[in-house]
Amino acid sequence: MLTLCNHADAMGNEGDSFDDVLARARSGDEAGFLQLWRELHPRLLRYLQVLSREDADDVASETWLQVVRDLHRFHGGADEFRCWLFAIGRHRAIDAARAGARLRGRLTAADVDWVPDDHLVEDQVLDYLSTRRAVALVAGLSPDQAEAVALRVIAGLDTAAVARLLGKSSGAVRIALHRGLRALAADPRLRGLQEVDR
Amino acid sequence: MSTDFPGDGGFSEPALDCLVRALTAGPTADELVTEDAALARFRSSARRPSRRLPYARRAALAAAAVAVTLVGSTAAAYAAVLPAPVQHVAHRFLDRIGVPGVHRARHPDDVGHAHDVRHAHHGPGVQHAALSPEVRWVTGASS
Repeated sequence: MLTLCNHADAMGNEGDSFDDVLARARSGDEAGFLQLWRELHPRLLRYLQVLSREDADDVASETWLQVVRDLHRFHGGADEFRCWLFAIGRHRAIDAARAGARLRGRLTAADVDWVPDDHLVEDQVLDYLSTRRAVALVAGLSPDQAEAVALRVIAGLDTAAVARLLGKSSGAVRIALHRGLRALAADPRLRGLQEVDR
Repeated sequence: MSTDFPGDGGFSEPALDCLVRALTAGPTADELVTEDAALARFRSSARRPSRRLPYARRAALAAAAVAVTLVGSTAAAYAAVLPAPVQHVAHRFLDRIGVPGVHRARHPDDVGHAHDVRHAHHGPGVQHAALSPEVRWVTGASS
């Protein structure tokens, strides 16, 4: 059975080659940057969708813009880069919220009941639907729980990194994470998601 | 990655496993739709030369600027060509650090205009000393 930890570990396993990819991107290599972007952009986008649905794409673009601009100043490995990326994304999302957008423009029921396009093949439809539904379910948690779950599961950060990013204690993050996952496990809509995923 | 999920080994509910699988699934087509735009930004950023000098070069330039300013200020103070209040402070400072010949330079109260200084030291005083009592009486100069 696939557990939460397996998922989190799976995301961290790219560390062996990540340094090479990062070094290539820093030296201006487009292929290296694209590999980095393809690896992390979907996770970043999902995290930002948990925070704010309306402007997640714009915030993600601004985040990568800053990453590209400051890449030469970054020092660290895969975990540090992921933490740096999501910290920038969070700050840009807060800036966007301050600029007028609502920070927690949550996904609505209509998003969960999304109807896919006809031209997508069945597997793609199922993946897309389940991912969107999953993001919507996480976004439906309380703000603290949603962000803890998103950073821990979607971003793949460990609890200490999440605590640093949120400016909270590790204990507080663990509690928010625990309560969030419990709430999700008790959510009847999760069963619908499970059926779609089969 | 540490196993710090609640329950040590993670939740065992199949529904949560399903949720996590969905949240960490591979990218969907619509998530990668901005790839070209991201690459374009990366290209433009890579092409744009950095206007910032390297740190070592900036530090060297700053040190050189400070050195030139210090040497220039000290030379100006020693030559007594600074405005009077500044010169006064400079003289006190140079005195304190033991720069020789400061007292031989012009008095700070006299500085500001070199011509006036020379006139004050060597002009009327010298002339008065050289004048005979008769001439002093003719010119009306007092003793």
